[in-house]
Amino acid sequence: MADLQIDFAGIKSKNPFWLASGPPTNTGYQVQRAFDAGWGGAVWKTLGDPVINVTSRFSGLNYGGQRVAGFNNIELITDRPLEVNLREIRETKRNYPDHAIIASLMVEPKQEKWHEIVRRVEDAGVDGLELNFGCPHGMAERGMGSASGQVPELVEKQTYWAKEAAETPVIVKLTPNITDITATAFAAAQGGADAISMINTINSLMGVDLDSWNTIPNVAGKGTHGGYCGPAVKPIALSMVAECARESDIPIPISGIGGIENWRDAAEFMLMGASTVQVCTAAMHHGFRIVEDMIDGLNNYVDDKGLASVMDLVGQSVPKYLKWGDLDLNHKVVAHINQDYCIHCNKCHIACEDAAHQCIEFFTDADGRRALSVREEDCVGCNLCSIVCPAEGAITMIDKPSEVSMTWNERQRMISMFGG
Amino acid sequence: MHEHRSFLEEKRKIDELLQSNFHIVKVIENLSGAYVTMQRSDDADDDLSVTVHLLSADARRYMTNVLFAQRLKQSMTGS
Amino acid sequence: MDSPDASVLWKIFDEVEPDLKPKEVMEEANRCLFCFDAPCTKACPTNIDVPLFIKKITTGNMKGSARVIMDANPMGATCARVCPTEELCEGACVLNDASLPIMIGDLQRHTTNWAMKNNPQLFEAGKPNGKKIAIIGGGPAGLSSARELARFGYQVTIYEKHEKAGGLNTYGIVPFRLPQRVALWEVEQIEQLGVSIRTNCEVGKDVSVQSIMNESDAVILAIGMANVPSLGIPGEDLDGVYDAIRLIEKVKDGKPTRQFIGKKAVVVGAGNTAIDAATCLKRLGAARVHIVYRRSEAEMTAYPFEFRFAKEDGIEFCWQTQPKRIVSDGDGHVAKLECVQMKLGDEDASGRHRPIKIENSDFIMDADVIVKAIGQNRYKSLIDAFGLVHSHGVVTVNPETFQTSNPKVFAAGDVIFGNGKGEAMVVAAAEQGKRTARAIHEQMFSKI
Ligand SMILES: Cc1cc2nc3c(=O)[nH]c(=O)nc-3n(C[C@H](O)[C@H](O)[C@H](O)COP(=O)(O)OP(=O)(O)OC[C@H]3O[C@@H](n4cnc5c(N)ncnc54)[C@H](O)[C@@H]3O)c2cc1C
Ligand SMILES: Cc1cc2nc3c(=O)[nH]c(=O)nc-3n(C[C@H](O)[C@H](O)[C@H](O)COP(=O)(O)O)c2cc1C
Ligand code: SF4
Ligand code: SF4
Ligand code: SF4
Repeated sequence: MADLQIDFAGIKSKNPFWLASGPPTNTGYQVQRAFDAGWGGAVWKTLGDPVINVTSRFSGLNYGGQRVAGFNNIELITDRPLEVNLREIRETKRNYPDHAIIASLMVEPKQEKWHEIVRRVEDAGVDGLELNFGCPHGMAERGMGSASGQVPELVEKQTYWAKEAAETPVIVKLTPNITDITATAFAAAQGGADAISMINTINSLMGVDLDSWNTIPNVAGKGTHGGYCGPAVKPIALSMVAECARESDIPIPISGIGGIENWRDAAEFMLMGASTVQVCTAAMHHGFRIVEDMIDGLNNYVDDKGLASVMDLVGQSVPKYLKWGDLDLNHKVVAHINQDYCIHCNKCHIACEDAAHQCIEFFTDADGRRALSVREEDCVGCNLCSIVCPAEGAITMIDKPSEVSMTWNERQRMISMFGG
Repeated sequence: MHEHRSFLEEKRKIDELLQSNFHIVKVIENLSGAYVTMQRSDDADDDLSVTVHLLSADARRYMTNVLFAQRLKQSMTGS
Repeated sequence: MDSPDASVLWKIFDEVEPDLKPKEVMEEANRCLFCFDAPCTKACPTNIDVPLFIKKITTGNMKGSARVIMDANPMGATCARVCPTEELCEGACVLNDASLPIMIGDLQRHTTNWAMKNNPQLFEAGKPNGKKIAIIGGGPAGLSSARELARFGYQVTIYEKHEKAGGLNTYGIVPFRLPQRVALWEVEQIEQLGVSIRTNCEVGKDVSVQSIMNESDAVILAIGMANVPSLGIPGEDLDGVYDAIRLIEKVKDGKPTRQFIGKKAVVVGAGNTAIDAATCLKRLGAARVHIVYRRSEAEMTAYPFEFRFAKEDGIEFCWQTQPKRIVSDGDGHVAKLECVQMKLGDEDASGRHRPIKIENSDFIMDADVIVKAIGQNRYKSLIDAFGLVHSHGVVTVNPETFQTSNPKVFAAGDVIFGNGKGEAMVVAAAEQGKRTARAIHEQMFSKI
């Protein structure tokens, strides 16, 4: 049994699985149920100045018969009184002293506002604070959430104010609605953040109802843009985590969020530099019980890898995530079709013909059957055929490594010596 | 189609020059491709130079690998 | 089939049902809704957490998936093959009406196949607690109780009269539905927990009831049922009359015989044993196989999937037909079977229609082979040797604790099946074994 305990900027947790701030962490009842189910920590539904939420609030993106490939919401922060939340936090912490409770906070960008809320939630016994600079809707119209999270100076200043008052670790939760996430991540680090977490939700409009022409979701026939999350956002979140993880002037731990559904997703985020992961949509889709397989699966995986602790995974893949110009131009990959597995749908042929390099050709095999093969010398190894192939094992991408490597950057330096 | 053929054609040009003791002296890359100027490297004092126009990506990659090999050889022979 | 050579014979006894292909597995597993408080789990007698083991397939956590199955059901690999899933888990799946039920049995087979191939250690023996338990009978009931007791820290000895443990999984259910290696893998899992299995050791013969009672803190009787009873008609001692269970046992143990090639066989009875015997005979080269049953198709006790399987194998059914006399060829061999046609009368105690003979409806069937498959006898003398209360050989137990009339002796599996209660199924035997172990543990350690 591997050791799944983690230490995240000084916050201890018996496993890396935390619930992200959102509907599943709205009340003490829910958070306690989650801890019973096995979650190592929870980031409480964001606390702040009073709001009122609308109905309806959510919508799901179904893709090819699968429900919730993506998820979107127009919910704001908690609409329950701060006092009630603090009472439940206190009680939950008392009953579950070994679980991490993080208070998520969002107030106007004013020093005294930050000081006040930080003092009040720390008094309730939280293990850490998460500053919500991410909510893309509603709160942003009032200058909070992603509106302040998109301006590096505001991120730095507010982090600094929170840190002035804070005794527990401060995590800054970043918005993905920005061109370069490292700019705000760097600002958070400059402001003294102990850690960063990402991503919050992405600006989105889920759809339009073709009968009523209403937006999806709608409130009395009207809609507004919402925050997108769920499995579909995972690649975006993963790249943002990786970009911050490899930056040496962002030297603080990262909590990975966005589309995490199972232990595999979690392991990927950890390999890319996250030392905890947070989950919202998957818990909303399936309930807290999904954490059982997350823990069990991660445990078996870490064991299978021969590692003692899950912390040994953190960042292992970061050195492999480079700038394009540092990739080897001499490396070649070619597609190969394994006739034994091919089911002759011809999708690879048409994909290569219409959208790649026209190198998957028909031939007649020994039994007079029409079959396909790759003309290797013209294959650029783009992977398209293997991506569209529905038959497991029918297309393998074969590595043809070169003896010497040559990156674009090296090449350009060399050419420049010859007048290029 | 058959981009590989244009690569082989361009590669052949470079290889032939290499075989005749030419080496690369200048490379210009622009929107029209790469212009690679090669000169005789033996003691023959005719300063004959030839410019090859490369279009295919594979040939331009190949040409730079030739450059690296040439640099390596020069550094080993100390010239 | 003319003269199948040994290897051909072997081939036809291979498992019939092909494994799911990787793509099928993923498509099917991802189709499961991961229901909460899932009806499939509730319909499983051992309460396997079906959505959880399927979820673990989708995440590639195969070891975890195997653990979920085998934890609830120590016979999980066998059950994946022999359970009447359409009446149990799959029958309860919420997708029955919306589309098609999840192929739970096939997914379970996929996971347990993975476990058989990769053999991870799934469970560990508990810290020794100093108590000794004797289990008589190494079938599903005995093995399951042994597994649980070993995890609780008991020192467990199984006494098994056959050469191999596994009970009817090893010797009874035909190999083309359940290969013997599956049953033996499950036995191995249990041995790995330190359970000692004394095979070739018949209690009452090789070791006395008294010594077992003296040496153990508790005893579990899991001896199943005995041979097939006689038909009670003339000609039963002729050459060519067989006991279905013995017949299958031979085949299952890797000794297919050539003696049935080209023969006309009649199997008497319409339970799972009859079907297994009939499909076995067909594979052994019998030219025609009839099943005669005195009631109608509706009363047949074989599972629907077994019935379908038999029909696919070309077995012919003669309903409402009762054998009257086996006719000799004059040389001591079976030549014909004389039967009488039946009609259905009023319902009997079991709720089934009582068959009544139709006057002057006698007829004769040609037959070289007659196979009896009309249920199983009970090991009454052994049960009496333990001094247990029973009814016609069905040991009486407390339904909660599986305790017999002797508080030190518990009983589970086919030995308590009967008299209209429950069904003789591997999964039922496994669950009873599990619950017996828990009851013993509770009694031994809650008193102190
Ligand atoms: C042909 C056939 C097909 C079947 N098909 C199915 C099916 O498809 N699905 C299903 O769920 N069930 C099926 N069953 C029923 C299932 O096999 C039984 O319900 C199950 O095996 C009962 O388990 P058990 O442990 O109680 O008994 P058994 O499996 O009978 O095991 C009892 C064990 O005790 C041993 N034993 C007996 N006396 C002694 C003694 N004195 N000393 C030592 N050892 C002793 C025996 O050798 C045997 O190994 C089938 C049964 C038969 C016969
Ligand atoms: C309905 C809903 C409400 C949310 N509310 C909050 C919130 O109050 N504060 C916050 O920091 N993030 C909030 N989030 C964002 C999540 O914490 C998380 O960052 C995002 O959903 C991505 O993770 P996921 O793909 O696992 O859902 C909310 C998300 C959803 C779906
Ligand atoms: S990898 Fe790309 S170029 Fe090569 S065969 Fe496949 S689709 Fe065509
Ligand atoms: S896409 Fe895959 S299965 Fe279809 S023809 Fe190509 S190799 Fe065969
Ligand atoms: S009832 Fe069907 S869909 Fe629901 S969990 Fe069980 S197998 Fe899956």
